Amino acid sequence: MGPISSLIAMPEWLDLLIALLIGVGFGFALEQAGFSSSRKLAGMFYGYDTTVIKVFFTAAIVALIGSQLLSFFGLLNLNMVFVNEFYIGASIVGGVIMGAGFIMGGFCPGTGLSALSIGKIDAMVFFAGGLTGAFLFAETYPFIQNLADGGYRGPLKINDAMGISSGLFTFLLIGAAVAMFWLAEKAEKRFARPDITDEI
Amino acid sequence: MRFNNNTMTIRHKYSIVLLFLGAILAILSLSGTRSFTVKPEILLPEILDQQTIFTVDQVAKFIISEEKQVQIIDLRSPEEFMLMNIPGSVNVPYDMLIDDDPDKYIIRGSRNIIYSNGDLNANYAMVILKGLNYNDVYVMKGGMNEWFKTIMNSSFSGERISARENSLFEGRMKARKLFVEINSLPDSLKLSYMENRRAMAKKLDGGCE
Amino acid sequence: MSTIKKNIPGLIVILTLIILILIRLSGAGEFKPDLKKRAESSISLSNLITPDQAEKMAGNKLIISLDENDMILSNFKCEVCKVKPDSLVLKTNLDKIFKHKGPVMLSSSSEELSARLWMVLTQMGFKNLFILTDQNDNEVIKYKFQPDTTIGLELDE
Repeated sequence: MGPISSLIAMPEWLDLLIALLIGVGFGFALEQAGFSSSRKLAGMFYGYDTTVIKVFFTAAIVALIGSQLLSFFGLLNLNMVFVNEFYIGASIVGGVIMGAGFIMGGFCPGTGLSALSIGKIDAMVFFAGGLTGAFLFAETYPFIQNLADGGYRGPLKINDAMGISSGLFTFLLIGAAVAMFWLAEKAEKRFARPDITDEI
Repeated sequence: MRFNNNTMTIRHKYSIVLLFLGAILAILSLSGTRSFTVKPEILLPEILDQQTIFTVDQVAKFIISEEKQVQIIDLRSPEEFMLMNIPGSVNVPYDMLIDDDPDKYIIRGSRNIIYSNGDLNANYAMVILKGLNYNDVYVMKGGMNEWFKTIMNSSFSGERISARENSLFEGRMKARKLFVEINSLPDSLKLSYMENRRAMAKKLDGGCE
Repeated sequence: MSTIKKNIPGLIVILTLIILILIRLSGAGEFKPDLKKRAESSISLSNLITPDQAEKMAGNKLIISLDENDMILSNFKCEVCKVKPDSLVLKTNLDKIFKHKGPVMLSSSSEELSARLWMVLTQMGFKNLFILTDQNDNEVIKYKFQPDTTIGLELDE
């Protein structure tokens, strides 16, 4: 809880407790939105159910607006928020593998975990596959190291790369989100599969 | 059908609210430019704290022991920097530092020690960085002028030398030697030495692995 | 009218947010925006004045003495107020400085202290603030480096 710890000095157990509660909230939200169903998740690719993009994009822009506003009021130090490091080659290859895996398996790691917790067998198999993949990555690392570490660009933020302010980027992203929601609605009508959507 | 109409309107409302908030944020960051994010009552004790100062001897110790969690930043012009600089330091001219995003230069979790020729620019920069909530920023007291006076030009005189004085003197000699070695290199080698240091520093940057 | 009534909760939230933002923007006793513009005179060194220049300066001068640095001050015939550095952000002191019409100068025995406090006060909105110093060349390098041309090329990293 780095950024908020700068406001109040928190003992470590409290830090971890808050993290636990946030995790619980996240899992709960995923499950109640129906994300434990692999058919719902795969619907994002086939077009008959676009809930995934709506939920995740909404979450992203709410978090974006919230953190910008908190930073404006001096309650959150955006400099302390961790920004992932960007490796171009690794991101592209990893993205392709992840995308293919998502569509084939019908899960991504977070939703797979929430499905696993309600006892779904396909999630268990999916997880076995995921752990195997991680193990293979570690074992073959010396061979793929160049790809994994290549194209290093540092902790890059999109608004920095585009040369615009973060506020303007927020606004553009929200605009893009709204446009995508509208497209998603259209897609749902076009690719409707009532035989599946009625069940999930 | 009525159910559908209601949900559509709620979505429209949310979209409008979100777009509105986004517009506010865009306007906010366009109108006001950067300012300090720390409050004056909090910033003042921080900048009056003597712990924000390192002496040239302490910096000398860092560079001869190749201390990893230390980054030294030179605030002078590129020309002055190329003429001579403290070995291992990075050049970020003062006017560039206050114009640009310090995240490009400041390494969180390491001690960032800044220096200029004297006492002014380094301390201005320190206040600015602390005001922008960068915590690990320190000043080398006296700057390059003090470095020359103490490290490069000092000599020991007298009959006896205490153990502490001896280690101080030794440290200065080592730092002096390193300074002369690195700064006597032809420019091309100097540049590759600095590139190396920068690459090493980047690798040690923190985060969740 | 009825659409407004229906959406009252949302409108209240947005209105509160706008009010909070406006309050934050006006912020008294806080740091002002436009960091770089306020720091401009530190780049051009126009915020430094020597005692001689200070004597010749027009206007009602106020000197803030930050420590027991009497040497420079004894020559001055203008208002001198002694402030301990750590009480500089107290409202009474800030008001005194703010309300003063004329150049204000910071004086102390260490350039370090004056520089830091100058930056803090300038970023709080003070214009016409100077550092009183008798060294005009603090940021000028006073030594020359003689490279050793016998250094070989065996350094490897």
